[in-house]
Amino acid sequence: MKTGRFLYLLLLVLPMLLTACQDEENTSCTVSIQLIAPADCPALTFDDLLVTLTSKNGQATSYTARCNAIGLSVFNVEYGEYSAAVHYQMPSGAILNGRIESVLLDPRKENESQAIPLLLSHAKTNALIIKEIYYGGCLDKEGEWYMGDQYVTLYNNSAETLYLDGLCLAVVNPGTNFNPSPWIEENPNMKLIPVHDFTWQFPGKGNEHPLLPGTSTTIAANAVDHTSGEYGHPGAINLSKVDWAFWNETFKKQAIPSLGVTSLNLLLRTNPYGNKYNLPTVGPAFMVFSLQAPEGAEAYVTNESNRKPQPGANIQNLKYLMVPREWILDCVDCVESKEQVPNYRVPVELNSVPAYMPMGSFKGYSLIRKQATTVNGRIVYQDTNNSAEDLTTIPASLKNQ
Amino acid sequence: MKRNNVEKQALANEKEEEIILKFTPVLKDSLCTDCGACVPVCPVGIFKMVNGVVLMIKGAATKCNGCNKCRSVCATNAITVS
Repeated sequence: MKTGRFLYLLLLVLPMLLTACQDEENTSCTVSIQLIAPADCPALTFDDLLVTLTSKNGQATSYTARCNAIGLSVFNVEYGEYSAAVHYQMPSGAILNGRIESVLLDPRKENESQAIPLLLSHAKTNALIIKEIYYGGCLDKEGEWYMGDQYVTLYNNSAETLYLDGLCLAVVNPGTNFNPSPWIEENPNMKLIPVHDFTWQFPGKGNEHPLLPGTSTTIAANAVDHTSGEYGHPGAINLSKVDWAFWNETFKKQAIPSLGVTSLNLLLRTNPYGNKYNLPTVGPAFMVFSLQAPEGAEAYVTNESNRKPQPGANIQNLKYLMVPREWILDCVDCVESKEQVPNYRVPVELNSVPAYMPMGSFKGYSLIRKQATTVNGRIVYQDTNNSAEDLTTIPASLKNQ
Repeated sequence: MKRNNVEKQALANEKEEEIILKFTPVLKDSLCTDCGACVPVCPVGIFKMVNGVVLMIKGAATKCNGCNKCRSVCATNAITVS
């Protein structure tokens, strides 16, 4: 009698259990990523490499898997859209990076049989690096958000003297990162990098502004003392003693730099509007580059054929200066929060994964490079073209200096 | 500065008590660079460029549909929509 009731109940429950299992199975799938070594690394030992899949939907959840000997990594993840990234430093010190912008796992497609190829490439190490970027701002004396004291510090990470003359600084378009970059969506391996609105250039004719090995130089948005005088924000930074300022008389709301601070040249403004220059407080992709055009910097930037409108933009007459990827000496990609990490703005050759400040902006924090080693007393900073790994968050280093 | 802030708050002063705002866009002058990125993206035309300065049109905030397009193109957190 009891057995009969059990069987009856089992018959009732079994279809429900089977349906639940089926639903469970339908939410995830298996996907394989096959790494492909660069041509000059045929003997690469793949089993040291980790592949990271990051969800492009919602919370940017990450999954990591180790490769087998032939470079194959296997994931079992929920359906959705992911990016895949690899970052590896070889025993020789050389860096390998690779990234797939979109891995679409669609329940309507058969993903199990796919092994998605991911080509690895060498990361370029730079002599001139962006050491610190303080874009987040702080709170002013009234407790309101304040961004006037932003700054960027460059550093000579090499053993040779470098010259800043003629080098350019700019933010990569788009200036925001709430949505995926339309440039990256159009071409993940873009050879030309779009400059957002303004291009700044160091003055000098070649050897007027040396940067000695192991030394740094700072460029402020507003090179004034933000802690006293007409500003008087105790939580802000005194930037009256920095070397350089992003300043031009066309920016009506910009502070005139303190005495002794040299202004960069505003080489080009493609946006006719703007009354002050600020780094995006939501997190910039910031780059330093050398305008190597044989016709000269001015001729290059004024040539309309070197500009392009943003793909899919409503306004097609707003065109951005396009800079060859090879001209970029260093680039850091910073986004507002973990959720925006998939919205990177530069190809993997320049940066693989963006960094973000966990506490957010307006808290007085910077992103600064981690120290890698010291050579004869000279600090060498970590530069693996991976902002997420190379940068760490600290209170802005120029505060209280 | 405060005057600019007031100008940029496009609240319908005249009939404020009669209008229930579903969404309230606020443009904070101290953070606005006047880059103009918000002007073309707003589907209901809340923002306007006047003599190189971004302003919110008086009364237009009542039209805000909360799409957040303005917020998504503002690089300096100058716009909030609550």
